[in-house]
Amino acid sequence: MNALEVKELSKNYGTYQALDNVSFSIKKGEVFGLLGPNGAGKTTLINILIGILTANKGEVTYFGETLNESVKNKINVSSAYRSVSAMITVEQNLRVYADIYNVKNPEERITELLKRFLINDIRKKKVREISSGQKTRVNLCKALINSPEILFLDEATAGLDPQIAKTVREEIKKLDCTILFTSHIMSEVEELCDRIAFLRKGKIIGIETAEHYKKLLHKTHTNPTLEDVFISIAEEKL
Amino acid sequence: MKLHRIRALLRKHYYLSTAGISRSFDMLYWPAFGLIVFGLTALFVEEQGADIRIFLIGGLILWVVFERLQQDINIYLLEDFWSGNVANEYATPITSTERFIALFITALIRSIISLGLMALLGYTLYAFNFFNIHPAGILYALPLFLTAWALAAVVAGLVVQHGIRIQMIAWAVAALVQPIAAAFYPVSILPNWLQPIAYMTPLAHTFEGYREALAGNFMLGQLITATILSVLFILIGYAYFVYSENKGKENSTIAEN
Ligand SMILES: Nc1ncnc2c1ncn2[C@@H]1O[C@H](COP(=O)(O)OP(=O)(O)OP(=O)(O)O)[C@@H](O)[C@H]1O
Ligand SMILES: [Mg+2]
Repeated sequence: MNALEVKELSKNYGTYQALDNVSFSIKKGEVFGLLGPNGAGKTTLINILIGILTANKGEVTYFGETLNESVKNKINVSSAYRSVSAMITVEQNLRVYADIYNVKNPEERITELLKRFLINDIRKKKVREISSGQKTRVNLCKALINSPEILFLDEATAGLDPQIAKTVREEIKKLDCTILFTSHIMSEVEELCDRIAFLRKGKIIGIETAEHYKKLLHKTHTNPTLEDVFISIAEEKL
Repeated sequence: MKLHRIRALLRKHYYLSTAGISRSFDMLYWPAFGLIVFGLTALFVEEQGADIRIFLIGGLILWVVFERLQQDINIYLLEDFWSGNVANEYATPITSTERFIALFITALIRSIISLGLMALLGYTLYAFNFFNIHPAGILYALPLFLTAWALAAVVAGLVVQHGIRIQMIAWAVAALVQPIAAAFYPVSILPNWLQPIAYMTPLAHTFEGYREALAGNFMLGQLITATILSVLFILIGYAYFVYSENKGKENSTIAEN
């Protein structure tokens, strides 16, 4: 069964069409990359999939069900655009989310996650007092608190230093869940994603493996990279 | 000191002043409002001369409870807007009703603490006993709380639908309705045309009823009217809140915060 199925999704902001008949499906356990230029509609798409933005048209199912309470308990999201409550501590925030999802042994779960992302030392700090790279990891801990079956990561690794980024990638690889992943770091996308959808001006223009995309550039490039692919697509040469 | 920099700031203030009605509102409504409420109170004091302490201190305590309750409900929601936590929370299974109830409980606890403090101060400083009322008078708490909740729901709905650019309304709305709440004077002191409007809100009935209870009388009819009206208000407030959450999901206000 597909973990996620998106059918003919469209979204307009006023007269601007941000998503135009987007369809794809993600297999259970797959890490699915979503790439595209700034303004392509990636965040819009993820916001619809996590149920905080209403589409104008289309249908989404999660393990065959539409978005209901039980599905909402099985998904989670981490986004570079958001933060948990700034005025309370890291630990307190995670405790709130643990309670929302009725996590068993919340204290242990929180400690485990904080250790995995190397931020156990800042657990008592207020979120407004921590650095942006630390905040990024707090968001990831929040996103994993309910051991989601589908995880949405919207530039969730932005702003991490190379060493921490490596740790985070390792952690993401270890996860036993379906992931929809957006990032502007091509090496990371290539390392983590099984398949990659390219979105341009609200339209999906391809869903392939990184290898497949690179082969498309063999005529014009020697040793093409995913970055070359991205640029060719953004420049509408592919 | 450079004049051009002052001019730059003045230009900014001018842009801010003309960007929306809220700044002009500050300039016009508050002064007018202050004059009206205190003018009406003064009128009443002149006419009555009686136990004015009951009206002023009792009215103030009840009013502050009402206002704190409404503001706290809204401020706890605004906290999530300030932090950028709104979208995160709306992505969880939390429902409108759950959010609505949790906000109310927190605010209720806080306003009861405020009430305790004010009652204590009123008693020790001014020998005014807030609880020295007809025992059934305590029931007026119900319409008071429900009305604050209803008003907060409308404000919360406006914020969820339009975003924090209209957050000022959270602080202003209680005062907006204050003139017709009859917190510091009886409804009869209001101009004739305003009296029926005041009686369409649960607040006027609540404050009048509470004052009667302070005088040792209990008016069952008034309590029932206040309660029925407040239930009506909370149903409307809740319906609007749910509606605005849906709007906020369509227009992206929730996703952006
Ligand atoms: N609330 C909004 N109102 C109007 N237009 C919007 C709104 N939100 C997004 N858009 C527009 O929709 C398009 C898609 O935006 P979106 O944020 O989904 O892009 P994105 O692919 O995530 O880009 P980025 O890589 O920069 O994060 C953009 O052109 C953007 O200007
Ligand atoms: Mg984006």
